[in-house]
Amino acid sequence: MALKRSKQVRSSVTFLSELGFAYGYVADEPDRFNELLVAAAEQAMADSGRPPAQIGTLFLYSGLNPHAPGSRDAGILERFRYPVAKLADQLELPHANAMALSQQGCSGLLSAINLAARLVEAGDQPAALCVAGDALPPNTNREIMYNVMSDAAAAVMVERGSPRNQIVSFHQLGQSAYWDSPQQERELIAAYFPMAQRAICAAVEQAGLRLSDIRWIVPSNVSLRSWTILAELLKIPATRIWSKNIARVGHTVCCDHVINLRDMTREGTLETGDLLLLFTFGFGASWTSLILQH
Amino acid sequence: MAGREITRVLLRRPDVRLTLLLHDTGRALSRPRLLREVFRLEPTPPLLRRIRLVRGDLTKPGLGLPRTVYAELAQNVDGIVHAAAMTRFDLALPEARRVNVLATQHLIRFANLCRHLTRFALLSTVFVSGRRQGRILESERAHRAGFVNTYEQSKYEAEACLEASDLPHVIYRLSTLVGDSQTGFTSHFTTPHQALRVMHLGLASLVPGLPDYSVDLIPTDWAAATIINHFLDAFEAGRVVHVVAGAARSYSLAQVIDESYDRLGELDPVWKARHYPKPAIATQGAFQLLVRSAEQARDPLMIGVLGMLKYFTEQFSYPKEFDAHVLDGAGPAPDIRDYYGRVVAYCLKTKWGRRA
Repeated sequence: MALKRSKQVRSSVTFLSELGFAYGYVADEPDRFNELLVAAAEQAMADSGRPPAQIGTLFLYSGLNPHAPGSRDAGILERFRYPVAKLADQLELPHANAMALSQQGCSGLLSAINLAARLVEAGDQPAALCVAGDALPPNTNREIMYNVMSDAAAAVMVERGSPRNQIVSFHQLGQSAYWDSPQQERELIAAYFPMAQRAICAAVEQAGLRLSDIRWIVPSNVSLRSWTILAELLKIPATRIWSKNIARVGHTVCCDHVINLRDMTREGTLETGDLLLLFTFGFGASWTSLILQH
Repeated sequence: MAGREITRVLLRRPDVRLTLLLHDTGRALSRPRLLREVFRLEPTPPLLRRIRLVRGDLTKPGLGLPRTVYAELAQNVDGIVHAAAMTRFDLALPEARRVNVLATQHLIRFANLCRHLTRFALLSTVFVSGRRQGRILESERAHRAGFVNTYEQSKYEAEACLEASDLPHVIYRLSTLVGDSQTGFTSHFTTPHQALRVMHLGLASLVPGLPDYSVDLIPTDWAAATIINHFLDAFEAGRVVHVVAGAARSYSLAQVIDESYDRLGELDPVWKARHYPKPAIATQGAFQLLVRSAEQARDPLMIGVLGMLKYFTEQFSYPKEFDAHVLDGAGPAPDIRDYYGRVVAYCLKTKWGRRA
């Protein structure tokens, strides 16, 4: 209701409620969003117990396009003031190769996790930290393609030999012909379901699994109605999609899966050995699946 | 669409003199223009001598004709082909009935006055079977399965009106016309063509139905020839004739989607490079949820696209096989595999009727 009153959503509350949304989170002070990133990263580091010196890579992902034109008066050095380096400094990571990733929309954090896992597996670094988050500009429209957007930050520690949430497979179906998101909004809406169906089936097959092997689908928090449709397409019960956070969190650009996994763990939903399929669409466009074994 | 092609076939029979009752909207057309522009025929003097136009409105008492014309026609007409219909699927039932049922009732009343009448044909649809499933016999009409749209229901009721009459009649139930088997030409871009357009626009998301549903499509030239051969040369009063291709000569729903994308890709490389995904075949429930989202979001384009599909595609959830017999002299319907590419090419070439 507050988002409606402040005109940050345009559709009726009834419609948004039917889509499964109840709340959206708005960063109080977008200028201080970095503090949220730091807090998420520190929590991930604390949860893992990994000493900062063992973190070989820091990925910072943002789904919003950062290449907006800067002020004409700003010096060129402004362009070299990097948030990821600042974050590494704030986290006191002495050996981390800090690098920012972007432009995969909601798929970005899953892609970052996949990259981090490959680095950890291939190299001599025992861990990589993936931090991600976005805050929409103040007073902007928070409704994108039938979804209510929240601001959020999240972080994941990717470790070699982790006892839980082991990566089984990563699969991404790209369609760069859809790069022009504002002009192709309707085409993207139309393509979403057939591509999602195809991508999930391909991901499961690539992992040598069947859909019935997947205990939980961990969703991006796009509309509940869209997940109901997708569940029908996949011929799976909608109850296998853990959708509780759609109402209470809303859809963040790229943090949904991490927030959902944390909440599933906290409420005791997950059992050791459960196969989880994390799925999302990302502007750009890509349909991405990450299969984990809890 | 069927009426035009049937008239073309009738005009090729030199022993037939035609009186065309045209709706008022055709008032501006002279006989030569009508022949050239509507029936794609050269208006030769012999042809012009065999054709008469009267302006009227079947939904009005007396067919909307002057009394003298009405009476004079009743004296001379010996055969009637009732091809007038409102084929839109999204009309409210009263409006669909006004055109499809009331007009039939008025024409039956007129036919009863025709002293020399030997034959009356009603063009109908195999989808008077509505939500029935399984084998549909020509001899069956009455059912309680319900209807997918008001077109089906109004044609069902029109058939009932004719059945209740004492007229020497035949009901021709057509499946879905898609165009000329040789050229792909179509005078009306109906739901199958619009569905193809939605695919071409990259807006096809979900198609509700069963993947192996047999999509019975027939070419207009074959349908018209079949109907007129039977009507003029083998008329059997009281009969119902299914004018269908049959499952063996039809694509399944999954195949028609695949073929549409393959043909569009061959004919339009720029479109192919966009890699639009084929729509997913979904349940009615999933499709209705998508429709509801577009409606609630007040998205006019998606409402238009999905609304066009929703009145038609529900049939894809009621698999049926239409009983049919090859009529004398007509031959079986052409296999859709032999001419569907021409239909797609015609749609692309004309941009679905936007370019002549």
